Amino acid sequence: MSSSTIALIDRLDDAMHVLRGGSFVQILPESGHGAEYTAALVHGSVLHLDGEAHFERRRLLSLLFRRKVLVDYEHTVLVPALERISRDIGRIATGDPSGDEERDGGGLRLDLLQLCREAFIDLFSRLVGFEGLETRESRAAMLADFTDYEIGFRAKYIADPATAVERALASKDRILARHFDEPWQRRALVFESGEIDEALPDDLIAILLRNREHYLQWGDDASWQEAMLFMVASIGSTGNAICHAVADLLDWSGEDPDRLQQLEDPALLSRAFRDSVRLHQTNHLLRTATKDSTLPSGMTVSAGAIVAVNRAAVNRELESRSDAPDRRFAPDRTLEEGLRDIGLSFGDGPHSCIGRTMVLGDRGTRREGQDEDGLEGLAVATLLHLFRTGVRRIPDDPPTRVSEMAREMWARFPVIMGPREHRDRT
Amino acid sequence: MGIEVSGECARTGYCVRVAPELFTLEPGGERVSVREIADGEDSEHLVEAALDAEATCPLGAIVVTGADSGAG
Repeated sequence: MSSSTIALIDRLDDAMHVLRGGSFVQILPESGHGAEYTAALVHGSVLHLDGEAHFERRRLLSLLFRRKVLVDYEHTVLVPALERISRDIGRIATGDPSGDEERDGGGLRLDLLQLCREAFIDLFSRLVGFEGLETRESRAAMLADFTDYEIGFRAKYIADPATAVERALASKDRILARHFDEPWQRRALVFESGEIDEALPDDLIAILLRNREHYLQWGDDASWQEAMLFMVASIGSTGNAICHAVADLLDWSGEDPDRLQQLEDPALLSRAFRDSVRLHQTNHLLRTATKDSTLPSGMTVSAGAIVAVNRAAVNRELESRSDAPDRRFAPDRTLEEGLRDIGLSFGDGPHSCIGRTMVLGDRGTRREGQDEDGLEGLAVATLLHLFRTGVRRIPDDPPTRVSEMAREMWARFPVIMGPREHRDRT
Repeated sequence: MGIEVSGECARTGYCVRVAPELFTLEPGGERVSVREIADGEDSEHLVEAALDAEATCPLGAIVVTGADSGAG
């Protein structure tokens, strides 16, 4: 296989070999396939590094993802944000005239995608150290710019990547000027004075400042590229996945009373999210072969060749290797022993998503008696609040996707939310 | 302190590099093993190394219990 062609990987064993083995690295900008455009946004981020540099970066960032820190984020930032939104919805739906939301029966018409993004802003701000996002207006302005940034970040999958990246860079400038530059400069002064506590970095800005020399190896842009990567992952990817999970769960439950009741069961929601996220990863993971390889299927790949791991196909393979081969979405699915229910939804190998435990929680590894200290995970915590608040679809206003994007990305996801007693599930 | 390596392990070797005093990549690279921690051996250094490895593992395959990890 020549280096000018792409080898498509659509088997789980081949995919694991590519993503876990040491013979493949992230696609380089000079290899094309859209990487030449997105490099301006990700070149110095953890997403783009390999080998020793990647290990060093993951270790630096791991301070933000210690289990104790994740539990603290969940209990003190995420859950209060979700409760605030639930309270607002309940208050407005039951008669408070404030707000500009449109009422519908006993509930409110809302965009679930925007609601999720807003709910995750507090968590993202805490994780990175962004400031100035306390008001509804500041959040709305940031999310408007964020949408452009996210589309540019995913420019490999659109027809006009150059324009998308140009718009993303402009939106990034506005976001950083409003929320990043001031805390960065203020903390830099403190750090340079030697007053900052070396032992307890508590957000990404602290890590960036404390490891300035490391980040400067990839230029001045590496710091904001890392911060913006965190933004896309924690606000964009997760919001998109939650919308998919809500859609899958509402389709699954229908009007079945038993299933409707299960929509408030955290264990069911955990299994459901994991099956849903498996279904909706529609992008390919691109890698460059660093040496000649033979994959488990017998496919040979030459050094320099580009391979594309087809996550959708690989994740669908899990269905045929389960007790529910005829159902796409099946939260009660049991897989062959040794298979992971999330497939490649969070990647695999060294480049597995660093936030996966934050999103998925620890339900799978929790021991008896640990529920009080458990990490529910952003996905289940959010789904639980949504279903307790009575989320349901609007039949005459279906969700829409970003039309220019070749991968699944919601543009808007209209729902009605309101107290359960008023629920008119559709 | 207890340390377990779950089936999620992809043998990236990151834990071995972070905490070689606790983790070993078996010959052939097919399995990561973790050594037993004797009673009273939970020094601050070992606890820190275990928590560092737990957080650094890309697959989230390491579970540390009984330390100051919030995991019980």
